[in-house]
Amino acid sequence: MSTIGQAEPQRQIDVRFMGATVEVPSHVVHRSFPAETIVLDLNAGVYHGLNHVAGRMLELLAIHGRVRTVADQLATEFDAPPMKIQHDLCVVCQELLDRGLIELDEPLR
Amino acid sequence: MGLSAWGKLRLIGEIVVAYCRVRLGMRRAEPIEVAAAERRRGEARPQEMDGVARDHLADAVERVLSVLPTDSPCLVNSLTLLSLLATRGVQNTLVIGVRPGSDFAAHAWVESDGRALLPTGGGEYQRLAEI
Repeated sequence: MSTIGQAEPQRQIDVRFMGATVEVPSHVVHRSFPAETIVLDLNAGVYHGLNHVAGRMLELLAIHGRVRTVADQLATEFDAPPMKIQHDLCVVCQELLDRGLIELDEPLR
Repeated sequence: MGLSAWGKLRLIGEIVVAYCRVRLGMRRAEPIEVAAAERRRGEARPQEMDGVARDHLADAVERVLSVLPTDSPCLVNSLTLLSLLATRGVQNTLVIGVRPGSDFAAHAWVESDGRALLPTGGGEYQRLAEI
């Protein structure tokens, strides 16, 4: 099972995610547990683990779709600086996208 | 189940055939697709099956498959039973459960009308998906 939620410092962050709308496809199921969120890609048969924050991000992305809306809500929930939240959210979005756990409504621009 | 000797042999044969189909299917596709394919086989022989009959069918599947090779016994057992239930027009759900944490594990079982027909892992696994 792969783990998502630990940012790699050297990785380039694609801030264009902030203007994106994403969708969690129907073949991706997830459930939050006390220590982690487990995600299963039913098509690939692969499990992924998300830490608490990344799990909450996925949950909100599934509800809202618009990444900026999610960022705003997270900044309030975690009482954290918006820039930090946006940075981390973009990292997680990239990882989720790379693993096929979210899809973009339109290409990033 | 009150089957004759011939009836038992037929059932064993049916289970083995379904098992082979499931194993072959799992080499080519993921479990969700195999489950869908088995369900599409449709209600070839619709039957009234009460809870006891469903339990007996599940028990027969476990017993027969216990002597056959498989890498994922819970999943293969589940898909095989699902196939037999689908053929009989019996409602079924494939449930995927997980045990989170450092000792992560996944388990599969089949439910029908909300009742587990195969072992659920004794409460160790929490529901993640229902297919």
